[in-house]
Amino acid sequence: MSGTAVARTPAPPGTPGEVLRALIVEDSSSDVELMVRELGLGGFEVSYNVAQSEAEFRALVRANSYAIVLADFSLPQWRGLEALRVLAEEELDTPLILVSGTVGDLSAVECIKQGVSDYILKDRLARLPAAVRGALEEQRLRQERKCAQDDLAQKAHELARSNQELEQFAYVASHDLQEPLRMVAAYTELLAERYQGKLDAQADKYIHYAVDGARRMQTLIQDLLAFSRVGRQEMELSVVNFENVVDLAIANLQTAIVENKVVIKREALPSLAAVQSLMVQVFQNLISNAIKFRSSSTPCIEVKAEKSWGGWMFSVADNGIGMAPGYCEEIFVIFKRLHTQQEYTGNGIGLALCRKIIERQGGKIWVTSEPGKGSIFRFTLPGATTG
Amino acid sequence: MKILMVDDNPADIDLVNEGLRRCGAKVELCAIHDGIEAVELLRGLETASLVRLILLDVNLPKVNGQAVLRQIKNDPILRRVPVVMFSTSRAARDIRGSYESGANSYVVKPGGLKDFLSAVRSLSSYWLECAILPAGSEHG
Repeated sequence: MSGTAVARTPAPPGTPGEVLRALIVEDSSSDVELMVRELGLGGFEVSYNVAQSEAEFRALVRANSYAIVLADFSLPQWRGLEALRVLAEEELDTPLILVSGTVGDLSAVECIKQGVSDYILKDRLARLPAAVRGALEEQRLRQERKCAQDDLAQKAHELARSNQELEQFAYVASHDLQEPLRMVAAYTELLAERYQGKLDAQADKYIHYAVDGARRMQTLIQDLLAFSRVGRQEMELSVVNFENVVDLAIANLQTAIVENKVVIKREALPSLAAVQSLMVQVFQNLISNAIKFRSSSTPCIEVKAEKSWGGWMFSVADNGIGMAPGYCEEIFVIFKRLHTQQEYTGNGIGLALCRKIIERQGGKIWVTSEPGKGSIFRFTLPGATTG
Repeated sequence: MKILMVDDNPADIDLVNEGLRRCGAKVELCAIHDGIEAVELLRGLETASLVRLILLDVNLPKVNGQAVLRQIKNDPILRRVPVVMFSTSRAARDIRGSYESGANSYVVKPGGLKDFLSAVRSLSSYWLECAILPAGSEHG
């Protein structure tokens, strides 16, 4: 049974001259006619097919493409609600409106929960055109949302891949750069050893530049490698005693601490799930920065930890030169430096590495500072105290 | 007494020579650039009996260092010669793989000249003077 009801009023807004392809699940031909008539009155030009059994329904949705399914709630052979299941099996997103003589054994709310777009009683059929419009609009929005989500997922995937490629590139580049650089460093040093003071002052200066440049580049490459490694490696967390972490960081910086008569004040630190070697690196970088950017007074560094929402917040405070608040975000960007190589040596990787380490473990790092008043670096780590 | 160095980088061979010269080691450094040649040379018994230490790079042309190492350690006679892996690589898989293949030690080539020369001095003094090889190893 199929046919076309000619529009008696203009096509609905947004679908000028468009024919509404409908699949009607109904055993009463007079009810079919009534529905089509109402749709016509509501401004739709309808082209439709009728299905009375699951087999017919499935065959029709496979053969044609429908904008809407109108289904009687209960037919002698099967229930209109089952059409929903068939649509899902056929992976179709066609909206379905239940049209029923009586409220059946399922409430309208229950039907809508199961995925029916709307539920209309046959004695209120005048609502059908509005219901169809609503269902079509809802579907359009649903598709738009899905498109946007797919698009977002695709972009996220591309970003992850390009990040991974970049990490891989950085790793290979720095790894393969190390070998030739080691030659340059070793042999310029050998030249310096053998010929320093035997040529002229100019030659000594040139050799010094070469040795110094090669050394700086070695440090740079090693730091870049460490940075890229943190991005790639799995974070294997274990319970870490932060007292030990700070002990190790301080031990690694012993020479600088003694030379600069640094006073380090500590409060009790917790044990938390973290990667120990990386946390030593973080404290070492923060403490060595505090020493490097010391003011004219005796460097004093305070290390603390306090419970914060959902984890712990650590702080490393110093009485150094500080910085303008405007730089507080920038300094965590790789290669970002606030000083010339002559003022303070460095390559701008240390704090970027700290940020990457902390973020990879689910925390955040930031700094508050003012020029001349020292800096306070704070970072959080999630997780409860363990032991 | 010989040290056999298997390394495709002539600059590193020179640096090892420099290190040996500076610490006054009475040893001859015999350098080979690829893995196949190294194993062939060692299979000549006479040579093997004089080699007191093998310094083996990991990344070698043709046959890599670990494959060379396995051939040495699977040979009933050659296996007695101590093999120190001497490589730029700090990769965990290279280090672990080398020990699993029977390396006697793994030393990462230091970046600076002084450290490199110190490593050579320490390697030669330990393996040529301190380490006591099992009886019979001197002559296979």
